[in-house]
Amino acid sequence: MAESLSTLSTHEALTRLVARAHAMGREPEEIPEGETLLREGQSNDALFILLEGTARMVKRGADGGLIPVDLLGPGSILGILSFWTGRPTFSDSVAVNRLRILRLDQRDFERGVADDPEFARLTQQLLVANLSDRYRRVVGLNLKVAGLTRDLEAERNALREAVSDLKQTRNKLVHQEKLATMGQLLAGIAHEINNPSSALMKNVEMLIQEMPDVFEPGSRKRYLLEEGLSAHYATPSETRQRMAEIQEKHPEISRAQCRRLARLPSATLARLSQDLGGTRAEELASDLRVFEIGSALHSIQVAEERITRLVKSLKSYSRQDDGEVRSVRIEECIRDTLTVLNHRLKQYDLELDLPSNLPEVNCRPGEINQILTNLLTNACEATPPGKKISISAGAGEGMLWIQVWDEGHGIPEALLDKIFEPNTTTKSGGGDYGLGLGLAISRDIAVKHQGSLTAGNRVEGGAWFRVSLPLEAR
Amino acid sequence: MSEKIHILCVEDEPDVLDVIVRELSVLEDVFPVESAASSDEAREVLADIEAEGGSVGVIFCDHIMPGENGVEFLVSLRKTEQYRDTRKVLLTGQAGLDATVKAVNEAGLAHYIAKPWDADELVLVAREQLSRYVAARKLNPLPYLKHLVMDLVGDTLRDSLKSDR
Repeated sequence: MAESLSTLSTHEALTRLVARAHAMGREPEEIPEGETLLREGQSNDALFILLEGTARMVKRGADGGLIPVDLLGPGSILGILSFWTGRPTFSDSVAVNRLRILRLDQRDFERGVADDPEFARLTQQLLVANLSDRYRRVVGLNLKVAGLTRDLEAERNALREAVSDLKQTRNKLVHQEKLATMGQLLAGIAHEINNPSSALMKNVEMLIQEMPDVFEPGSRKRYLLEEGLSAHYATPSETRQRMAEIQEKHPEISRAQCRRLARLPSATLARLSQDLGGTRAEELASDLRVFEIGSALHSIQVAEERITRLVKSLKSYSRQDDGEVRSVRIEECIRDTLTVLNHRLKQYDLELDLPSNLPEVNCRPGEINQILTNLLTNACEATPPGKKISISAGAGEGMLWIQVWDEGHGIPEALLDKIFEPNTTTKSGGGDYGLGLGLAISRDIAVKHQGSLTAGNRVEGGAWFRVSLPLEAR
Repeated sequence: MSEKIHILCVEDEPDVLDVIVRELSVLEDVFPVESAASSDEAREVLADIEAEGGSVGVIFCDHIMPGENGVEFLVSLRKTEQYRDTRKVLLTGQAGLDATVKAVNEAGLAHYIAKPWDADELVLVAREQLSRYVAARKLNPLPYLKHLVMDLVGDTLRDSLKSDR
């Protein structure tokens, strides 16, 4: 036999093998569809050479489910591993359709290989073909697995990003919701203060108007009351100086009395000078109380005016934005925010540069207040007390801009690029505003207004932030 | 003549300062009350008092003020030898925990008064702190006795009476 066996087609090789088996007294068998040829885990002592039909190899998964492993066609040999190693069968082999197989047991095989060279060559060719086929499939599978792993990795990264995006969005929403709640609270408090404050104002006005008439026109008491009503505060150093002057002239007057006299305007003091000492001093001391009542009323009025301004600022600062765009004077937003943040800003050298002719801008004022609050609280966090924080505004090229700069530590070089990304913060403490969302939200707001928020470091030190808003917002 | 012990009030809001000084002026026949609108001015007043040979028994200081804030001011005073014994009281409307902790730990804060305060309480705090000051300096309490809290100066008083004998 001159021809090389390896050139035989599978079909030819199978036909010849069946002939050789026939010579040994072995006939092909028919296996009906669905029958299990080999069962996973059982021992096996035969080779099944598939002549016709398709068999499926199935493995049991850890959870008991069946996992299809491979499909085998004519020329495939089932049970190779268990036949040669004697180990339990690796997987189930099930007939997908009707099969024709040649079953060779240990004895058949050994006899055939020993006695029949063609049988030996044919089985050898089939075995090598099977093994190389399986090897090729393993390599293919590995490649496929690698591809799938890559895809999975990419998908996992995408998911991770999506989850982190969602988290940021949720944090922003929570933050916004907090601010909205705070706004409602502020508005509520402002409203509640407003009523008693109005009553206070009306009553003080009445007292200021009516009190002088309680005293005789032209009397000293009336004069002192009216002086008290219009008295201004002397600075502590002025007070000290005046007290020293009085005490020098009248060493007999007690220090407490000196302090009371030092509060009088100098013209008033001069008019009373002849009564300062001696017998009339006691009467003067009693009349001084009227001056003090007057100045106390004046003080109440001044304080009340402050409360009224504060309440007004609180109300407009916390104005609940109904999403309505309004035409707004930006100076008012700035002043409202400054009022609300006064307790923090008063420690700084605050510079305010607002031109009087700024055009009105269409915006949602509550949101602009929020940007300004963020920029100013950031400036406070970054700047040592006593240093300068500056707010300026201007208009040009269809835009209105507001700039906040400070003399603080500036933005660290490494954060410059991502200062507007959520969860970026230079603050070490975990304060109320320590979420690192302030600037991210501020930029969102600016962008929603078709404007922008930009930042950088000043050459002189400290950071600058600039909000630009279009004058004609859509 | 005995040493003049002053009370110093530091507050940037003139109307609030005015009220503090007025309420404390009931002690003024013994303890002169001085006032300042900022920590810088307070330092000038301290220098004046020192020049006149007086001392400061207690400082009432606002927390948030333009320029140097109250806590920083009190901390710096504590580092100055002649004001170590001076009793330091922080008056505040809004200090957070951090500021309070710093004030207690670093400024040796003696007392902490939240705004708005009660006039009687303010005067009592002043009297207590002045008593502690007199006791800490081991001064003869007699010239100041009118406004001191006896429980706090009893030992000092006994000692000074003994040494007089």
